[in-house]
Amino acid sequence: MIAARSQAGPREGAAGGAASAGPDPGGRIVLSFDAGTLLVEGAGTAAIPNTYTEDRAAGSSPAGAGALRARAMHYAEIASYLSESGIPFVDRARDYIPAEPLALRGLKLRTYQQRAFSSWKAASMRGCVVMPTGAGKTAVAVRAIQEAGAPALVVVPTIDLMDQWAGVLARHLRAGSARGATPEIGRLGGGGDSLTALTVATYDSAYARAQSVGSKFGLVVFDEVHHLPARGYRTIAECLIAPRRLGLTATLERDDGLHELVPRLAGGVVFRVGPAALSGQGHLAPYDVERRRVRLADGEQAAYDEAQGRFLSGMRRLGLTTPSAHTLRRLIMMSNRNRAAREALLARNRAAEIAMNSSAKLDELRSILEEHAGVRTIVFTHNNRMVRAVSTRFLVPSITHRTPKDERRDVLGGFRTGRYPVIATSRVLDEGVDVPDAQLGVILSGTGSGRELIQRLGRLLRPKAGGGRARIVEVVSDQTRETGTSAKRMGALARSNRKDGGAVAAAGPPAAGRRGK
Amino acid sequence: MGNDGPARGSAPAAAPAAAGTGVQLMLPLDLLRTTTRRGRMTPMFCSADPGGADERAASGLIAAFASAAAANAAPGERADGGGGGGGAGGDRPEAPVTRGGLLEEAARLEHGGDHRLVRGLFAMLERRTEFAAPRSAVAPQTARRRLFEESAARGLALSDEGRASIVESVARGMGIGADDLEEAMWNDSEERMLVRRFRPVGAAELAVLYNRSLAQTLLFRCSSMEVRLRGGSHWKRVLREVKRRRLMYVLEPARGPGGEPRAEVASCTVEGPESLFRMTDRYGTAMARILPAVMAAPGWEVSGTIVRPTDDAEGPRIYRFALSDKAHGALLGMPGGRGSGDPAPYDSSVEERFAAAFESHFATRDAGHAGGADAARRPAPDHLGWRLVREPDPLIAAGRAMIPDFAFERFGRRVYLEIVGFWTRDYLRKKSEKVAALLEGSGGAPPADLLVAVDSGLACSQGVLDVGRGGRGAAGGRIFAFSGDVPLKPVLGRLAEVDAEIVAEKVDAAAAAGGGGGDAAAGAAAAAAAVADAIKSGAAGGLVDAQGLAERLGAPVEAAVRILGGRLPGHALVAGRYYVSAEKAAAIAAAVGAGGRFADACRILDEHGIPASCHGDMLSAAGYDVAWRDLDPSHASVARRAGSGGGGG
Repeated sequence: MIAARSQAGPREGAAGGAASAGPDPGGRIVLSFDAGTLLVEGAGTAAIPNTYTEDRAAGSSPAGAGALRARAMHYAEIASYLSESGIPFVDRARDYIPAEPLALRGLKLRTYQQRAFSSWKAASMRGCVVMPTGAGKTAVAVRAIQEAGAPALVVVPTIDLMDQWAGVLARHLRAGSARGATPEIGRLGGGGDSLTALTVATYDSAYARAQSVGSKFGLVVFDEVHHLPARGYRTIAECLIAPRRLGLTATLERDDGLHELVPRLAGGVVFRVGPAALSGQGHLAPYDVERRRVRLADGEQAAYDEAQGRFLSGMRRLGLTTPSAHTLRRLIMMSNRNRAAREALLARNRAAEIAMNSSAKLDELRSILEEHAGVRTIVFTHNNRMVRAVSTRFLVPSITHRTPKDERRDVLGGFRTGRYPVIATSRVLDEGVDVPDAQLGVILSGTGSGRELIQRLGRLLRPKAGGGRARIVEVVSDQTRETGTSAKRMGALARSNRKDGGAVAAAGPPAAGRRGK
Repeated sequence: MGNDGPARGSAPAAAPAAAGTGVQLMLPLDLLRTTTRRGRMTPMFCSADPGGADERAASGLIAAFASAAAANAAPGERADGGGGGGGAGGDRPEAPVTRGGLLEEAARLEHGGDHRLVRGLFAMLERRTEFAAPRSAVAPQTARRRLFEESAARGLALSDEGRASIVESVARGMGIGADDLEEAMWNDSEERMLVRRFRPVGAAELAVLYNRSLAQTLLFRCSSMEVRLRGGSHWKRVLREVKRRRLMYVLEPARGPGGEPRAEVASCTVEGPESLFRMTDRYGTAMARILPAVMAAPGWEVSGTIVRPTDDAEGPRIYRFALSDKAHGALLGMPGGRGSGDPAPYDSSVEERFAAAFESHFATRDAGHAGGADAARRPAPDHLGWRLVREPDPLIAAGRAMIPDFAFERFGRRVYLEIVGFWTRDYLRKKSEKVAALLEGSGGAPPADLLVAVDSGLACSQGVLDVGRGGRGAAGGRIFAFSGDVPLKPVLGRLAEVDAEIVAEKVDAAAAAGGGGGDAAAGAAAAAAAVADAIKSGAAGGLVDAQGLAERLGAPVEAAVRILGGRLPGHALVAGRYYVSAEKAAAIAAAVGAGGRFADACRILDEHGIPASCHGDMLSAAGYDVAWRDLDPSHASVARRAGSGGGGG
């Protein structure tokens, strides 16, 4: 194929070109956006950074003689290279949606939010802001959108977050002046397909549409930017020409190390603050973490030991001695073809299920709820089965990803007004969604991920009236893998707090796990 | 947000199965079954072998779905009329089968087998199934809200008695029993859904549906694929899909194992714009969507590269894959057969009228040429006349495809015709570029023998016409304007030129074979042998039929006549096809004598082995005139022409 390409060679005399717009009559270089990439035509022998020679054909592609192609994300770099080198060019790549200047309404940044914004602006409006859930990342983004004065695309993980962002943008931004009209908010995803100068999209929709809308925005905001480096999602960033980029997250670090790609895609971290520092400054409530160990019920313990034993002996037989993230991944890979591996994996899942969903945990939850009667409480579980069990046994509302939208609204609204003092949820509320403030979080089960814990913690940390403390109670099945899982996430939280430069440890190290009264 | 990255592999939300290309629904990536060996990745297709493990799993699942549908049918809907018959099950209503129940059944079938196969088949069957929530005494959502509100008001259900009392009171308020309320509470959950309708399917058909989905799923992680197939209409469909999915392609002549171009097969490498920067599977889903169009073409072949991410430090691993009609056609066979082979409808009536005019021109000419009524009934051998081919394989112009409307084929030569009807300016610009590239030859390829008919009513036709007017080399005269119908004349004119070229080529080749003696080329030797045979067989009877030689040489009769001419001294050409020796002519003349009834003369010619179709010509060549009294040959008579040297006389 390579040979065929070079054989095809540059096509001479193809005057007229195939581009819909055609080449520049003045012989200047033409930049155009093509399906998530940047075409550079008429460059002749000029060396242009980040470009590759194109000689393939496509229906939509205007590839003409000697065209070069680059990733759309290099647009700003290439355009400024041409300008600085004094090479004349026509810019047909930028196809921004006309954006009117926006004014802020009813938004006052806290000191650290202002600092985050200034750092981002100073970094040529490119980079990531890391701050805990509940610290008001959206406020920083609203300010950034207003400042950039360019059509903006906000990319968020879920449809719920789309709704929430659309609400925040409509509340705080006005066309022209603070008394101007509410700007029209476009939507990509969740059934919406409208593009405006202020558009909110899910990662999935942005992934599907980046090839066609990549030339329309000058600013892109990646909410929960730790998702961006995932295979596939990273191409969203690559297919957009937007020179201005803002990433937001509570924890950038990923277990797979892919966060190293974020600087290339959205810019490096320009500002970072952790929960401990903000608690110390009164921006977040101080918090305590308590771990309660429960014994598995008799039958459960025997079943757990049996399943766990089968898992471990299966691993040994397969030559995978120490259970670790790495050997587990190998086991999963093997399990597709190897019966013994599949059985070992099933045994492991069975053991985890027993530990996670132990009836002893439900009994402990009953005690916790009795101790905290009337306290606004969120019960977190790892899977839907346990949510259902909590909901059924204690007759408290629950939210999973299957909960109908109107019911979810009723539950969250009822929680806010106090009609429902306790709600249960699996992982769906971990991220972003504007969940009403809670005082108590009960973690019945979870992963070892520090991010998950920090996000769950974020649900509880809005400053309490009267300066009250927030409280997290973890229920862990004793003598199971869960104790290790819990230690892992607590360790991650502690490390995250240490990362703040000079964070004030007002709330004390949470990993210490103080016992409750 | 445990699952990170775009939801790939989930069935596209709205992908109606387009008839014909049959958009298949793909499987989730974690259900993809493959084997890898020496860098090759092969999908593990579901075998439909009766009694095999795969077939047992398929049949077991089908039975589970079918019986669930039957058990859940409302009494009125039941095929057997419900409980009227009084079978053992008639009195006792069967327990309704929920989706959860089907999943359990699947888990049983998985045991000891490949769980991905079972779950993949399950996914295929779910798409043929309509689920519905079971009937509840009250709406589940209402039941939950009332229970939760009552519970919150009473400080939650923290004891068994407290819980019972809450349920009791809510149930009473809604006028239903406590059990009904408990049952209604989660009746809208997915695992409680009941099978309402199921479109039955046989195990063999299910295997094919599954296999087609599996093949598509394999392509999810495809970074680049090559497609080979035949037939312009199939190419058109595939390339249309390539463009629709915003992919890019490079087209080139397919090569055989020794690197030689394979006749009439083009190879198309498909990838995406970003593939230029790195190997990416970003376009895998789009490639998977093209597969049905490829698989609709007989003799299709697909190969390519699969990227599989690993946790190892080496990064993703690269595999090759290859699928083909030949190797996998049976597993991937279209249920209900591939299109009936009917030609696709014409793009425009202009094309249709041209094809009809062309066909009828050659039909009448051949009939007239062959002479007698008996010859007209027998169609002329295919390869002797110009054959019209619709939408031939693509011509390749600098890596781009151009699929002309028609090709005319004869003796291995091809002349193409592209009819440019109404279209947009951009289209015309691209077309004229391609035409120019084709007429001049590009990328080492020789110029294509292409004619272009341009509708002169077309506002932008000038651009295309200019390419021809430029008259650069071969381009001159290849492009002509038309209005209304595409005229036959320019086409026939070009075909006649090619005919002459073919004749000249064949004569030259035969001359080289005959004269050279030492020529080692097998083709030339065979031609020389054919000529010698023809002369030898004719020598005995004094009659050599050039048609026979033409068929053996694969050449037009004209060429055979010219080849024979120089080698048969003393022979006369009769009816443009037969060489008759002077001796034979003399013998015939002696037998016919001074003349007589035409029928008697014909009998004599028959005895000499002269075909009926050239009796008239033979008599004329031998110096006789035939006098017709009317149209009845039995009334005609034969008389020696004055001044003609008599044979025996």
